[in-house]
Amino acid sequence: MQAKEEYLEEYDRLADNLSGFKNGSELMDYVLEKTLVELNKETDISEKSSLNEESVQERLQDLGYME
Amino acid sequence: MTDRTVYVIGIDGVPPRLLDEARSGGFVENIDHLKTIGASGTTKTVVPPLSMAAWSSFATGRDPGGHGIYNFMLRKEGSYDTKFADGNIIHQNSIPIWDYLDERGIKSGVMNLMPGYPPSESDGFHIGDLVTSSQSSEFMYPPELKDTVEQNVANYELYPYSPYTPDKSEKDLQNYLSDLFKMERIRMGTGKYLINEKDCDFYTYVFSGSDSILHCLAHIRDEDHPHHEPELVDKYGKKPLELLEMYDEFIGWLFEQSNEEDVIMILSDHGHSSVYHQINLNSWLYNNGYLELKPGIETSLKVVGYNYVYDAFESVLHKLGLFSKLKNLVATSDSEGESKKSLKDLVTISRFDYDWDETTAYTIASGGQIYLNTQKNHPLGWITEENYDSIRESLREELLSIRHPDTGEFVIDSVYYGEEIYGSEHSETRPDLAALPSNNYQIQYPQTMKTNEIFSTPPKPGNHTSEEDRNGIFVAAGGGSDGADVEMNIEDFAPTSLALLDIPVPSSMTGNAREDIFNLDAESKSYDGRVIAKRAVRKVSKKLRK
Repeated sequence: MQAKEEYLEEYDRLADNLSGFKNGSELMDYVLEKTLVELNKETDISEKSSLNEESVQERLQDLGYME
Repeated sequence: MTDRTVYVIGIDGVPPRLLDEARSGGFVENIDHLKTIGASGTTKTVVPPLSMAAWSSFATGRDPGGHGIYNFMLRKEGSYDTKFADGNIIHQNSIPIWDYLDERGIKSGVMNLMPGYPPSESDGFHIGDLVTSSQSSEFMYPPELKDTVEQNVANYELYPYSPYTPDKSEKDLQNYLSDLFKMERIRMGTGKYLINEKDCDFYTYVFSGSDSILHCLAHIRDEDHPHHEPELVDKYGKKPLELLEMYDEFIGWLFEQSNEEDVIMILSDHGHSSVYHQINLNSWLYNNGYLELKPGIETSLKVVGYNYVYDAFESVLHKLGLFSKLKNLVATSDSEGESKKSLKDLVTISRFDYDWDETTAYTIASGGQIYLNTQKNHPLGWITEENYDSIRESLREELLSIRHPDTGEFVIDSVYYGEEIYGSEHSETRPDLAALPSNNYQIQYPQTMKTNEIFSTPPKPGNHTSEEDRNGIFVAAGGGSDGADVEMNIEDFAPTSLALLDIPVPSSMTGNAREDIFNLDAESKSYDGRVIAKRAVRKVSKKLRK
């Protein structure tokens, strides 16, 4: 509870810039709730790589957008 | 909250007249049934009618000015450099419908929707599209889905076919069709399996084989096409209709397993037409004094090379089977920053060859979008706010007066101002003009620019380029849908789907929840901040789980 009060001012400021939250307290509860859900997920963690430009180029050529 | 499931099925590139032909030929009995019990009409798409921008507008409920994906190729802000559109850009610039649903704890299933790589990590599943994903990449989320699909359906191949063009053999055509139909059968099998297994409330699948087949077979179906192959008409002319028949079987299955609360929407992201002629826009701009090349020896050599040597060189490489490989190697070479030249820049006439102090206008991709070299948005721009309007108007008028040298026909049908068709959120990379060609013409941006070749032959016999091609199909059933000859805008699907699921329509969406077509009571609300907060939580949590 003490920690919550310590950060509330910061969350209030954030909530002012994030549409959909009434105040910092609501934002803080939301973050805690969603964090718990995310941390308990059992799906594998994806390892994204960057776009394969060679492949994109080839497909756009096949579709006739690039020559 | 509702028990309803919303299914939105995209059949890429199908023009309304093809659906009419399929209906009258008895190929699409299930879609026909949905038309009878629900609503039908057309889907009006973006300018130019290109899938990357269109599906981005579909997903975000915003016009391209709202999500910044104007084309397959995009201009980097404050630069002459370019980049390909991908899933990261749509997430950086905007919020797709599945992220709003995710914020509300609702699962979505997405398959083959551009730009789908990297796939979204919103709750449910997401399979990347065939243009931005590559087979070796992790194009499915969750990552274990790839194995699940392979074990329970088949190996999901993103791009297992080699497109047919009129210079290829009939055997090539047969192989192309066989591979294309097989790919779509696997997509449908995957789609059915995931609907049975995943329990999402919103599904959107795009079948893109229809677009490919219309690109490749337009000249077989069109007896006026310059490359018409009459001997192939009887055997292959109805293949696009047979493909629609296959999709219709999927729609029938969907309808059978849905309940009376559920909603099915079918759309295409644009139409399709035969293309007979092509105008190379940068070459036209060069020949009409809008684009200037540097006078140096390097650029001059390239101009001579492309105008007088390139065709012979290309022909030899084709014979050796090396052309595609070499071209891709060149085209995808990295420039390592703004100022360094890549292999591509060295061997093609690129932005490094343009004399930016003298250049007024240029294009970066096919489709007719033109950028003016403005001081405001370009490092070496010279056009000021004072002379912008007069220069732009003069260019617009010249574009509208272009005639094809052989046919005498006007090549450009309409020219839009950027602000007329695109919102202003990403105005710094917004094209200043967007020209749409007349029917049967295509506006192209060949990387191998030949300054003496303004007009040439299109690379594919069919394409979607004109004002007419902005019309796709629309059919809906359920949710109180009613009406014939209605016109949906492509930006309307996301807000309408949210309203059908009793979710507030985000006020940042510019499309409308269509209360005139569906039985809706849409509420508009501003809650993008909640989505942004959830994304941040997911990002941090992911790091903690590692």
